[in-house]
Amino acid sequence: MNTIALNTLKARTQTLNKRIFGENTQLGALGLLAFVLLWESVSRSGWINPVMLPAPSVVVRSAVDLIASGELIRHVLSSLWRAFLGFAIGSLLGLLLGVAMARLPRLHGFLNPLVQIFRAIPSLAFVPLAIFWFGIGEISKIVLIAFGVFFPVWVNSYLGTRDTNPLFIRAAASLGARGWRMLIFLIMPSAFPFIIAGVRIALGSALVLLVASELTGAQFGVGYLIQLSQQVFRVDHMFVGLITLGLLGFLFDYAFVCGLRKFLPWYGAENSHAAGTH
Amino acid sequence: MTSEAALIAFTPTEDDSASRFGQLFPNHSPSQRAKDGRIGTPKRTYRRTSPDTATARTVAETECPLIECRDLAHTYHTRLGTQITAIADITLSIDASEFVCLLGPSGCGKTTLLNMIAGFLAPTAGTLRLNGEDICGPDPDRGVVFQDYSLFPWLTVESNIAYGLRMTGMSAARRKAAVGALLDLVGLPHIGAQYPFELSGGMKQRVAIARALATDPSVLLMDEPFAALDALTRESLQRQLLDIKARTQKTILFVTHNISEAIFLASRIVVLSSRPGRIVEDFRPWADFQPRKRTSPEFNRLYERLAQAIGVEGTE
Repeated sequence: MNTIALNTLKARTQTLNKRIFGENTQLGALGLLAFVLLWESVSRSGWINPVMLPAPSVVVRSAVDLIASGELIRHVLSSLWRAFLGFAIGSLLGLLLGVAMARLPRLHGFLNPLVQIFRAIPSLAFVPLAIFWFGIGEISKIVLIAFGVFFPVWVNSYLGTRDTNPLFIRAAASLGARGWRMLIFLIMPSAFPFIIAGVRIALGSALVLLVASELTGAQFGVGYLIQLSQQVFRVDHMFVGLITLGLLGFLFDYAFVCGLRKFLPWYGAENSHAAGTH
Repeated sequence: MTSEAALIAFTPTEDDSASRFGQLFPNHSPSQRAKDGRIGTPKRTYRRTSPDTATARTVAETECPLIECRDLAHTYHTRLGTQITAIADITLSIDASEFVCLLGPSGCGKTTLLNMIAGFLAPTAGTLRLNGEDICGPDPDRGVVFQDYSLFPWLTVESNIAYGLRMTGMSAARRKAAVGALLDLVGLPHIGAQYPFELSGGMKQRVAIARALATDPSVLLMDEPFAALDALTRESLQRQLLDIKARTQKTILFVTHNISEAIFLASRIVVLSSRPGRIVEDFRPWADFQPRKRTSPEFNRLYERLAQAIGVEGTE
């Protein structure tokens, strides 16, 4: 049992390595190191004002300070909370409406032009309107994130539900699935791969909208930290904010992939596993 | 949407599932079940009851044949508007515990006939009855094994097999017991926790057979289930199917275009002509207790006869 756990841990670390460095770990690490060294030396060379481009060592020290004072954690937590709420609301609505529109042709006919028009407008363009309507409080941010998350989830839920494999439908029908059971136990799970792809895209847009809405005004949040730091000439804090955002985006995606592997082990495996003949 | 809507519109209203799922295999006598201890005890030899006693018993128990097709036809329209008759004038009675192979060239409508019996397609003419009642839509009383792998990829083998039982609302504990017996029956006792993508083609089809048998259907409909497998796997699965047949005494309707498969498996072979499919031969190839050896002269004689009936003489 322990060896199995150890092996999975090892495999996890390996995949994490792979995601960052690709196939060639040493070369990747070398590139990263070269970049940091170049940055450090340019910043210290005196050719550039070090306030404009603080050295990595300075950024790290500022990060430690921000973490120690608890300020960074507060920014991160309020960002995460917003992102989570908006993401949950947006993807739930996208899922429900996508499935409903695929199952009910009349609803699809009624709503489709509307949804398509709204989908064509980049959701970032709604930031000023959302602030005008809902102020700079939590609501405008959550609404914006939900709005941006909604569309990719909706499209994929709709397509996945509409294009259910007819063979599966026949198989389930001959096993007694009807009506809502057919929907819950066949059509929805068979649309999972599509829905998951939509949710993964939505994770990216959630982050973009989170930052955009925080940049325009907030009391806390990583985007707000960057905005504030610009006003007080703390470029090192801006870098801390940027790196934090990069880490968050990476961790979201990584957690998502790990969750998939754990809870839906069949996802993506149909194609990659060529089972031998028995 | 359309296909599913059609299926649902096609749904029979009565539901007698509760009583039907009480026993896994009612044809297995209680005394034998007690002696075996479980239903999946291997019994390697294939025995057939004499057709006379089998017929006598069927007549005594039910007055009508299990499946009855009368003047059955299916016509469909292509997108360009031409009308195509897939099968025509099919009159066929299948008795309980027969193993019928529907044999015919590609495109002769054998799958159409099977799909109509399964309830996926409605006949455009004629009548189609199961146990004296019109077939109108798919039902767990007719288990189906498809040519393409149809196991649900998001479910484990266990959950795939239990799918039909779950639809009836059977408790998890009883489902688990039933699934265990079925996995034993198809000779795959240890793969319950695996996912379909981890299985070979032959294993997938054996699980599909177990899934179709789980609801204890009165007939098992098999649509070229071994066509996608390699020759060795196919022969091994054919032997296993005969074994399953011997142990469950299920009525089987098996569609194939493979002549030797039909000869090896069937207690009765029905040959369909090219489109529109009509019955051109209907006979019982084997005398009782005759071993079915693929290399025997009798096998070759049957092969020649069927090849001629299909019109492909000597080739497969």
